[in-house]
Amino acid sequence: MGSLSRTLRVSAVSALVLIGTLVAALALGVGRVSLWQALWHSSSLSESESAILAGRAARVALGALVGATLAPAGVAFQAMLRNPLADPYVLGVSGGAAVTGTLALVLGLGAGVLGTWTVPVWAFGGAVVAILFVYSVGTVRGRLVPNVALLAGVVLNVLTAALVVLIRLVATPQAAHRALYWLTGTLREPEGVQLWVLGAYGLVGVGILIWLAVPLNALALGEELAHSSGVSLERTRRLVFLAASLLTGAAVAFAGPIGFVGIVVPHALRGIIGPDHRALLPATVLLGAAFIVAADTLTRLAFLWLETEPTVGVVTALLGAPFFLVVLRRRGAERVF
Amino acid sequence: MKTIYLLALVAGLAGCHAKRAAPAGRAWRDPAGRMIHLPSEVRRVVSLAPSTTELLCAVGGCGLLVGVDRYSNYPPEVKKLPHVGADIDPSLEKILALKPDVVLAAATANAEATMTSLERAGIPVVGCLDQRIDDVYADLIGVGDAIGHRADGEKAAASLRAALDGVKAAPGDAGVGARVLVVVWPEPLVVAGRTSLVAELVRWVGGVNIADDSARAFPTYSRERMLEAAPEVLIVGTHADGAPPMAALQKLGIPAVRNHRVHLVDGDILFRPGPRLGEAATLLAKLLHP
Repeated sequence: MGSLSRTLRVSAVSALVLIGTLVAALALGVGRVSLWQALWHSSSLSESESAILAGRAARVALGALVGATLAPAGVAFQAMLRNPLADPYVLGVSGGAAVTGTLALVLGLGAGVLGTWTVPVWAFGGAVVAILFVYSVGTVRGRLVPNVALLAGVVLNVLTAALVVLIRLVATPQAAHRALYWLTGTLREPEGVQLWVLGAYGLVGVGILIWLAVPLNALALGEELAHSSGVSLERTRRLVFLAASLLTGAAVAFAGPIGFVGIVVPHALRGIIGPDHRALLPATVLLGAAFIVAADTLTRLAFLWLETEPTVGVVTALLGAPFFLVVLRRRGAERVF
Repeated sequence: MKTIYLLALVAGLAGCHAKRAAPAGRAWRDPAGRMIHLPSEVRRVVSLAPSTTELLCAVGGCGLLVGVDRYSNYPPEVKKLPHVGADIDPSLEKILALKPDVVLAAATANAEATMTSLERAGIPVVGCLDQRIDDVYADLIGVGDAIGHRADGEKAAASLRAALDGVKAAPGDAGVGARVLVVVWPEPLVVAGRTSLVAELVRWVGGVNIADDSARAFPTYSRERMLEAAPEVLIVGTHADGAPPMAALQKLGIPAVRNHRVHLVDGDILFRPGPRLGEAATLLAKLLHP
């Protein structure tokens, strides 16, 4: 009972942070439009004001969904591999998506049957292939060996980075530029149906992970302990990998490979609320969403100073890296995981 | 007798030395303002940017080309020439193997390092400045002069000037024309900012470039700022790899979409700082003042 109330408390605080971030994100932007007026006198908004607000809301929604899917994927990979560095980026999953996504961009496949869905579909395929690769290389004699899987991910990252450079070099400068933009992680106004698709993937993936929170706790402590606590290892592992891949693939598909959110948010939260996945996962979902929405709001506002809009991946890295280092130093010699 | 041999040898060596120290040719300042040594006769030219390829052909030097960068595609006959890489990955060996007398480079497109290493290998590089309309006049005359076609260069510059003067907005019209956004790519929204050459062309023909509020040449523009500025005309450039996705643009609630004034324009004409600027300006004038 104690852990349930704790979970609820942590989730409630995280939800409040997310709501505050969402309101701020909707209120702030380059275009001048009053959120207050939109809420109470929406009929008095001009056409351009409504368009500005609608675009802003759609982009905020996409940011929230991307954060809410990428951050818990990080938690899952970290528990599975018992390593605080494991996240979709480090494991090469984003890299796999980057190769196929770039290929789709560069080959100009956007005009094909899949239309605006081309890049998402290709990126999703790349993410899934990458995770299968890491999983199969990391499984030695039927057992997942965390360090082998992690190293396989690192190698895959180097390989995919080289492939992306190669693809960009042989592309036209315009296609190469578009790929570069997508590759650093970028949010833009989505079509409504894209939000629904990402939301559905998020719901399934996060649902599986929260359902498996107790076995994840056991897994994070090591295979032997998990065994002795009666957790069915193979099934849990397969499900967690499947869920984390769905989450990563879907997020990368719509926003490109955004780094850091899968490391920073879970890591900071573990420092505050501990490693219990029953509390950690819901909080990570909510604060992951808040993190990306906040970063994207800064991205939009940056136009006022830079006179150009950077990508959200640049901002998450600029925010995430120093934050992560501070947390790391504060914890000092304590166990980081 | 020995002395005579020795003297002959020394004289011979001195002769060789003198020949190497002062090869035939002239010291010359290129359009980018760099002093280079030009050979007296230019028979073989490699061009490293699409704009410099067009400049060379405009002054009657197309026949001298022995190699071009991968993106050069105009005039059509240059497409058959050997490629030497592109702005970010030029192959020095490939360029040297083509034995050019001079190499043409665009100061904004090609890296300084490329020019330096070519010059270290003994090949003079003619750098063109291509940021403003005035630069292009100077480039035409400069490239013409470099290959011994100065008169052709001056003629090409004069005809470009005449074409541009023909569509120049009257002084009183400045700032009152249609509000224009020149879109380089719709998603993400990359547009032509104040310092781009195409923005200068828009102002030249009397349009108001709404992205003049960004000092960058090609900024990623704020979608909200664009909606607020409500452009009356959207000029969308096509690229070598085809037409950009228009669906998102066509959904915007802006005057340009409502009044069917979203126009696709060949990006090679629109964005290339070369002799087809006159064509670009004429096209813009037509679209802005239908």
